Amino acid sequence: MACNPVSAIAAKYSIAPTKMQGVFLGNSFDCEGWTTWDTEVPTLVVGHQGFLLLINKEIIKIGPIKFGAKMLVDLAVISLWGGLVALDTTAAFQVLISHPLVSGAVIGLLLGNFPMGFAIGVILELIWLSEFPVGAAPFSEGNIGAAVAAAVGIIAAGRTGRPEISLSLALLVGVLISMIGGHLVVLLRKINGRLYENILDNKKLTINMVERYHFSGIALAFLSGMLLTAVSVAFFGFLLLPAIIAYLPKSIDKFLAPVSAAFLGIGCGVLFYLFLSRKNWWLIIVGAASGTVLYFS
Amino acid sequence: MEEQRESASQTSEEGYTTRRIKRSDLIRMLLRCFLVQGSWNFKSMIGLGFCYCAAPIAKRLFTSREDQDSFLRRHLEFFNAHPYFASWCLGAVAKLEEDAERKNWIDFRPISVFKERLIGPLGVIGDRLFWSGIKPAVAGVGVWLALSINWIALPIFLILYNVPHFYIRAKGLRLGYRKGFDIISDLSVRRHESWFSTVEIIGSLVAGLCISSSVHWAHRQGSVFAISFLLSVAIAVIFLHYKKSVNLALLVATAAAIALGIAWQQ
Repeated sequence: MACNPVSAIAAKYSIAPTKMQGVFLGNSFDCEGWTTWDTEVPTLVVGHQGFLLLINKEIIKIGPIKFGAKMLVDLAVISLWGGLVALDTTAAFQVLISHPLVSGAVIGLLLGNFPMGFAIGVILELIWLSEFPVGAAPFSEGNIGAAVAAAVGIIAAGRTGRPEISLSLALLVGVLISMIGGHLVVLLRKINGRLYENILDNKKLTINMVERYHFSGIALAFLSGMLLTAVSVAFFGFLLLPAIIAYLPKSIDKFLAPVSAAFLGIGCGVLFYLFLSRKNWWLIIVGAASGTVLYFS
Repeated sequence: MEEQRESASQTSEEGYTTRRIKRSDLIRMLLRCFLVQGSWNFKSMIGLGFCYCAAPIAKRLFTSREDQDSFLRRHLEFFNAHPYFASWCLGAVAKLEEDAERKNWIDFRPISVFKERLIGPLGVIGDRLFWSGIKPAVAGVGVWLALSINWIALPIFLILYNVPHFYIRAKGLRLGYRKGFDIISDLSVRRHESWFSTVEIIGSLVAGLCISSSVHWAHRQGSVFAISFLLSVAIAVIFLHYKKSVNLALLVATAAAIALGIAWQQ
């Protein structure tokens, strides 16, 4: 593999070589079949995780590429999953496949980086537990936020080769999207209210009519989740985050790394607070003590 | 309408079998229950969703357009409940509508009043049992196991949550259909107190285990991670105590973690 420059570069920048396909002066080549290396001409190596522009064996730029077929397929698949997450959160099923723990892992599988998707899911799982989807109370769309965070983190890490900073920034993107998602849910509920008024205005109600209006609400929830995921992942994952990370010096990665611990800490704080107010609060101490013996002995 | 109802009554007195809800209708209603919040809105909350779930009753019991129209209108009214507990009311309504059709009720208001009266108990029990009990407890188990045994946490997380979830939905529909108005006696908070306390005991233990496994994870990453983690737990508890947003707590904790990271490196 050492004679294969694409594999060598992929290894240097932590990009999976099997995921890379190259373009050399307009001719496609297969990563495995590439054995010669002409440094005299500028070469663009294109993969779905990013591009490398090589001149005289030096990588002069790593950054976003035009949307290729693979990227569009990834985006479509993630967006469909985002739609399902939006459905499972309130509109349908509610079997918790939308929760960050599951959703992050699924996104990881879809994008070929299970460990990172799973890690983002674990970090974000507990954070929005205190926000109950009760009655008309507004809440953050944490599930969509977490799905977007997982996708953005994986894509940015793949394209920049800097997983630590990608993870930290993706978590912040997740918070932003959860807030936007919350407003979107309120908007959807207002639209559903109009649908409800429309159905009452009908002189003769039929079962088909009720079913049609109800499924319109479900379709709206799915589409809104899908669109929010698509736009957020395209903008943050493919464009903004890789560009920002490319401009940030590598030394900053270490400063941002503890952000993941902060997020996990907030999640654990939420869980702790939820059970602290109960009469059996002392059992938290029993649990923590048992865990301490289990993990630190 | 009155004439039609009278004629329906006469036909049943003449020996025709009265229409009854079948097991297949109940199964259809149970499956529809999973979509009860699909058209959630501020005007009727899950009123439209409830009507959608109840549609198999209308299909089975009422053949005339007028009867179906009045059925749909009375179930499109405002209704709200915890989504998993909506099936309790749905089962009872199926029973009452069947009785009304069989006994030729003139006034359907008792059904509407009954639904209104169930809103409170169904919400309180469901929210307390699931949103502030089972869900956080299972999420805690999920994170604890994920940090300890990795991906195996995923199926355990889904099974632990969905067994009581599916059980409550199915039990509610069955019990509601069997008891009708009497379902109200099964919906007292006191009756569910043992469930609440069991979930609270498990949840509290899990919260402790989850925190200790997270401390262990952060400690393995380095001292700055462990300090950031513990600081963030404190920030979360303080912010929640003073009713501040979790997102605000996240931003404060992030800033603190970055500051710690910079200080530590220098």
